[in-house]
Amino acid sequence: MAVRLKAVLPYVLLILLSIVFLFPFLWLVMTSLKTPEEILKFPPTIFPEKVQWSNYQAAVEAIPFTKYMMNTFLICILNIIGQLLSAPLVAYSISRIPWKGRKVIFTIVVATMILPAQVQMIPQYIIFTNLGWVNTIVPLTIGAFFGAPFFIFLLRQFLLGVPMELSEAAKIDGASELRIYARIILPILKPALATVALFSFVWSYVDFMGPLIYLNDSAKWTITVGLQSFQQDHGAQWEKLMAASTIMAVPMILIYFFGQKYFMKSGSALTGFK
Amino acid sequence: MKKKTWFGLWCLLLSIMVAGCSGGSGSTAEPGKTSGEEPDQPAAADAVELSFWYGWTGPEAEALEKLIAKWNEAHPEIQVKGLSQSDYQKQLTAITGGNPPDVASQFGQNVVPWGLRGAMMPLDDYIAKDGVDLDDFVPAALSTSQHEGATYAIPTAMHVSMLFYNKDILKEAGYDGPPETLGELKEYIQALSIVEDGGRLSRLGLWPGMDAYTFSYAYGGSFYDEAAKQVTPDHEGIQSAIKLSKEIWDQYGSDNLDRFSSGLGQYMSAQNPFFSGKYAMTVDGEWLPTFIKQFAPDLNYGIAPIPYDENHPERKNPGNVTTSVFYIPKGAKHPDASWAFIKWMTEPEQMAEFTAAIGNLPTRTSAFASPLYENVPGFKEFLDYSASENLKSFPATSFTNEYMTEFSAQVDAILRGTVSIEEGLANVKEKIQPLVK
Amino acid sequence: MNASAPVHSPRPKARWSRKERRYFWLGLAFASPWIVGFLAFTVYPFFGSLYLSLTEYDLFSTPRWVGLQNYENILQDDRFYTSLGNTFFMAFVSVPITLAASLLIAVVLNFKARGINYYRTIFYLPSVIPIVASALLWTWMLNPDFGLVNMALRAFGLPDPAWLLDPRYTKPSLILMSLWGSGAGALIFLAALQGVPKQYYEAAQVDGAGAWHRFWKITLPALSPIILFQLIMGLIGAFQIFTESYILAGGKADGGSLGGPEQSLLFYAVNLYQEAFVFLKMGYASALAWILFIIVLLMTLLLLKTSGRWVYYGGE
Repeated sequence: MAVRLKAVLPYVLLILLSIVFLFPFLWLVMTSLKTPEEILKFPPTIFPEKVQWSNYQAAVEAIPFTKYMMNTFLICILNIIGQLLSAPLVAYSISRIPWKGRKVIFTIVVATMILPAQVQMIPQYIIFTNLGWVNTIVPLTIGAFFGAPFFIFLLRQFLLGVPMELSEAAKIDGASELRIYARIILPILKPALATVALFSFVWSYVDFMGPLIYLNDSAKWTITVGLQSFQQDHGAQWEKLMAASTIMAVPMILIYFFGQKYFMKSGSALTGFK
Repeated sequence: MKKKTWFGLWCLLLSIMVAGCSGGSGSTAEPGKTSGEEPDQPAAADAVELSFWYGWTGPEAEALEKLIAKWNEAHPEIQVKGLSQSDYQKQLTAITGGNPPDVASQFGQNVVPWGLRGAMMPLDDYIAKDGVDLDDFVPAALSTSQHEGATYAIPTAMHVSMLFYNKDILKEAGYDGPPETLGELKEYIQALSIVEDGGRLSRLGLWPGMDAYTFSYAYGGSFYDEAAKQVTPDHEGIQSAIKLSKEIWDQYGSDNLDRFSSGLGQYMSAQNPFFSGKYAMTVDGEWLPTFIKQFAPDLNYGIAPIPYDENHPERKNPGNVTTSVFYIPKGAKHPDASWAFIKWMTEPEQMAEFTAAIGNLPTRTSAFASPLYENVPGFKEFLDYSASENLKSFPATSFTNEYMTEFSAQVDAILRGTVSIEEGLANVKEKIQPLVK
Repeated sequence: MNASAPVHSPRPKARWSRKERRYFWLGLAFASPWIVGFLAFTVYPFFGSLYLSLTEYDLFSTPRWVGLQNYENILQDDRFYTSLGNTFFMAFVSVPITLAASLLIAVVLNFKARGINYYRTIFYLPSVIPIVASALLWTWMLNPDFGLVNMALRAFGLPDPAWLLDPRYTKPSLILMSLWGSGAGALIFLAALQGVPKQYYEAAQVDGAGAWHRFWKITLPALSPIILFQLIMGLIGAFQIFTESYILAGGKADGGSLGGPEQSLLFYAVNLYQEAFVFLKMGYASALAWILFIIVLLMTLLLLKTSGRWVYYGGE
């Protein structure tokens, strides 16, 4: 009997927890398909009386969703390019070039991972103000071209597992360091670079405070700020807000499904962080 | 040799970055296409392009865009690109960021604080040069834009609140007309509200957290003693107004009121609580009849003066005047063109066209007679009301923002019972008085 | 290795060999993007904000030196203490609760049940939803009359609080929201759990230790480095809570509504944002930023220092 319970208990727990975790998604989608009248009916219903697919179209037009999405994607792409250009270079330097100072660099990289962004936020804002870059996407993208500490760390962990013999052999053939980096290491790094690209995309996509501070002109807004502002101006239009939130979540869910193994990679890299 | 390679790599990185930046600004110039739906104007080759940020949204923004299109057609050399931007705070950060719009709209209450800070360009030289007749403006409206002889903005619309009541609901409760005195108002609210079993509110006579400024003036309150340079949030009249709010508030309690308000529909829609009968009465501005016509044409409603203090009949028809203005932000790149646009927008003809479309009151007396207003619902009631002797406006000072923010925060705390009326208002005074210069 | 190696000194010491020198330049060159970025966007702003914190500056006029005035004002500002209290609540109540939930989910997931991949996806999915979207969803979930949560509570005959409208329930609302996102932490724990050598458990089983005992004596110690890591990240994260509050409190930048009912959602980062970008008090906000930095630094050091007593770096 006890053995039976032991075998069943995990399933019961898993199923209960799953229901709790899935219900908000159900509520999100169901609300997005109701009429405004039905949403404010007491007592509330779960399933819509008559499914209103038109809410999605209305939300996309009212917000304006497409414009904000394009703005967001542009920022995401520039961030990915920036990180891919810079982060592996730095990671290579601190993991595969035996130079004095690389330990210091690595220590600082790790230390800045926990430095609260607020400490630099105001002077950075003033710098960008003086450069006339406020209300452009430069402040939201330029940082990527200098390598984010998290990615440098991630790639370094990965590179530590790549045998040095690979480079040694090439060196004997007279290849320069840059050549080894470009021809041997970068191809090996591909899966790790995919992880970097994915995370970089996700971070830029969900960023709220950056666009809130730097983008004044509503034509330049990203989807996060645009959606928040829509809620501010039009408050209680829950069917549209939920429809927009659903559409906004879709790219993230797709990325999760297609990039699952890369996300897991970062998880295992973090477990190596002791 | 190695260094050369590195130099090359760096150049590559930099050029990509620059390309990224310019790619960014290139794409930011593009939205012009999306906002200007009409076919491209035959713009002159050297046309100046003005960006114009305004706070109106929805149908009101559409009305404004119509006027902008009209201007663009008549002035190929100055093309205006409108942008609906309801977060007014963004204007300030844009100005400090050195990328301000060329023209912007604002609330009158922000004009003097921003002007004194140097965020708005003084317009007096332009006004003198073009001979704009400031005497044509309603004095109470113009005063919100001026400080010590300098004019920082041109008021384009004027707002005042009155009492709206749902005739059907009042009749059902046995009332033939609206409440006239503040005492009656309290009685009405109680009779018109419906509390169901279990305390759940399903209808309110009037939202008790009502406009504290309007009701303070109704009780003869005053916020600032100019002569003594003293802020007076603890003025007797203000105390009476808050006491009235508080009494009604406590009758239902924060919890019930919060629940009730979380289920209210959007303001600019048929679900507006007054349109849908969840409020029997509401205190709102001159734009509301236009919204009603749009969203709830069958609503049987009336417009009445704000109830007065029965002990002081001389304070009949009280009210709080606020304005909407246009101004040129500091650092705007084409101030002459910006001014030409503002001047045109605030000429009686354009002012009448815009304010009539959105059901607002104009600020120029010469616009009052425009035939455009004939079809504006409720306009006559509000126009008559705006001639009342007892209309006041919040004093325009460098600390107006801080004062109003702190005052409303404390009023909220008072209604919710975290501080007493005396304490709350004393807190306002303590915090704001040091800002008086 | 030598921790004080000269990073910025362009002139390597003479005792370096040719090879060492060559590697130094190479390494420096490869690391140069990060070094430039670090100097321009971290070091310079870091000290810049220290300087600004001693001035009064509104972006219109030039900074005016005021000495320690900003710090003195902060210590007398009610809003500072309110925001600090709210933030500590999140750091010391919400973060541990969420971590415990993550651990629980990880342990349950670690049972070799069938279809484990499906469950893993279900638990992880909420944390990939952009925070703006999930905050909007929870605003609606927690609506007192029409929300799903109260619907469920009423169905079980439980009291239905006003959640985000009632200052007593606003922070618990945030905890609910972060519990929903606890799957991300669970996956990190799960990866660590799967790395615990099986022999440990087998040995314990032979000794006749119960499941509970094994959890305390083997699983927890084995996970302790990860717990420490997640705890530090969680605490730092708590001091930067912004978006959730901004949206759940229905923040409108120009009014006093940032911070929610009775300022119960006024967190440290929200207060800092408001002082800096709404009131344009850049000097005052910089002083707030430095106080934040010192608090976070002290907290991290304290945790690392005491961690020796409960963190086991076994097997290394």
